[in-house]
Amino acid sequence: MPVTTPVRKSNDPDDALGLSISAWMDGDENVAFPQNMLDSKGKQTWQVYHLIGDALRTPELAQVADNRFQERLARALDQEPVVMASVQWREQTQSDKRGSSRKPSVWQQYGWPSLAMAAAVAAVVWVARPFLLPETSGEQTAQVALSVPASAEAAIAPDYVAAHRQVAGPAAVRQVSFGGIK
Amino acid sequence: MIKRMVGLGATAALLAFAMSPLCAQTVNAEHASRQWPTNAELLVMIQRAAHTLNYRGVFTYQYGNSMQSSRITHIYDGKDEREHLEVLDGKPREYLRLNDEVNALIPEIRTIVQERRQGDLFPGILLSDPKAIDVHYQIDVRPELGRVAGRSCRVIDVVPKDEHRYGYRLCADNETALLLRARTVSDDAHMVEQIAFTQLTINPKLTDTMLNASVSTDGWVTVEPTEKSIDLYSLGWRIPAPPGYVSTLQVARVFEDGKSVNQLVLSDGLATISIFIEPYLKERSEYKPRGAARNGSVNIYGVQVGNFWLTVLGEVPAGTLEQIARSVQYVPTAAAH
Repeated sequence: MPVTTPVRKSNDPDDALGLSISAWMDGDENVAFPQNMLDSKGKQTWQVYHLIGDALRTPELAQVADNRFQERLARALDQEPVVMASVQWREQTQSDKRGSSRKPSVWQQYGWPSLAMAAAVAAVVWVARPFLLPETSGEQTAQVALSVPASAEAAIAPDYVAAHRQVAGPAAVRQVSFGGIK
Repeated sequence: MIKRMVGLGATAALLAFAMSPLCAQTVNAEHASRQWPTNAELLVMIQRAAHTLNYRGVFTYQYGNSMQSSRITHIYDGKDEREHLEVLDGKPREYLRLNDEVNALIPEIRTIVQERRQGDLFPGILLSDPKAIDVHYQIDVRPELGRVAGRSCRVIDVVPKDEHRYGYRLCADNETALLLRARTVSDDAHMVEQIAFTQLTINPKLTDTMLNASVSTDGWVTVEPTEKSIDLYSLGWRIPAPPGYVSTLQVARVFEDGKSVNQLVLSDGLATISIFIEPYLKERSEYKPRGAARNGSVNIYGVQVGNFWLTVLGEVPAGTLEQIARSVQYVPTAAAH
């Protein structure tokens, strides 16, 4: 887990130092050893980051915050704008196009999984949807409805469509959901 | 590692076969062996193949975002046709057919519905009048071969001559003319549905058990279907048909929710339009859709006519449905008493 996850790219040299030290600590193999880590500011950042990391990993080292702090933190988090990873990913790729030699590190790692996630959701939608029409009742439909909002399309006149499909054209097939037999 | 080597070996063997002169000769022989007419006769040929060949396979029907697979076993002994169709997705259903008599098996209620077949189903083609098809469609045989379910097939375009129907792209087995795939192509050149074999054996080694139901039907109830033939004209309905379409079926149906509807089916031999008519009850609010809508590959148009509700639908352009829906008339005085 990165000790400090940078949420934006900037030209601030302090930010750049923090980013490179953080990435190097995380074992990012694309990041060369940050030379400026050897100066006093670099050493300080290095120590602070390790202190934070140690505190997070070792409860004994951390001061237990009082309840009011947790409330304030929760309120502050609520007011934080939602940062969309895909937006950051776009920014990153645009900066790459501008010829930046900086290796994409953090956002590339976060950007792809979010894209992959979208693809996974799309796959689930495609796979799950077929159950909506043939089975108008039953557990599978309920599960699908929870994960995917049933589109209006699937719900329109299913009995009529099924009755029609039994007699329709080259693709006429037997329908399972249709019938007045109870 | 061993598996990997075996896989490579098999691929190499296949490649060697594909490139061998023997393989090329076989394909060429098939090319020459069959004439493909460029009119409705070609569809008749496809229909005949579906009736007279022995085959067993699995086909998949894909419409909108849905799909459904079925396993079919078909036998023709020179006199009678016997067929066993099993629906593989969703609720289990089996259909046992002897010529036009069909027994539909519904396991969850231990019931057999005895019905008469209403026209051809895949891999047959519903063909009411081949001559009418030539008036409304252009049939082109494409030069390239397609491949479906591991078999090489002849690609056929059925192109509509007006805006009242969709087109079809068929792929018929190059050797036997059995329909391997049918795609419906909309007026804006999109595929709206397709049905295709995914696995097929022509002239398979068949055993009698393949034609029997997979479940025992001892003690099951046998019933007649709930559809009853009706005559909508004598009931006062004046329903205009678009050019080339004729009425092929008029029945009263009962849906699963108990609702009774009348259904009129119009067909031009390939495309099909259903018109459902039911009493409009003010206290019921579920009359959907009002106006135009779509369910997968099917366009729908709903409209109120007097004290009735009409649902017009089919795999045809939306404009055609709207034209029908808006010109249907109910003439109560003309209704037979």
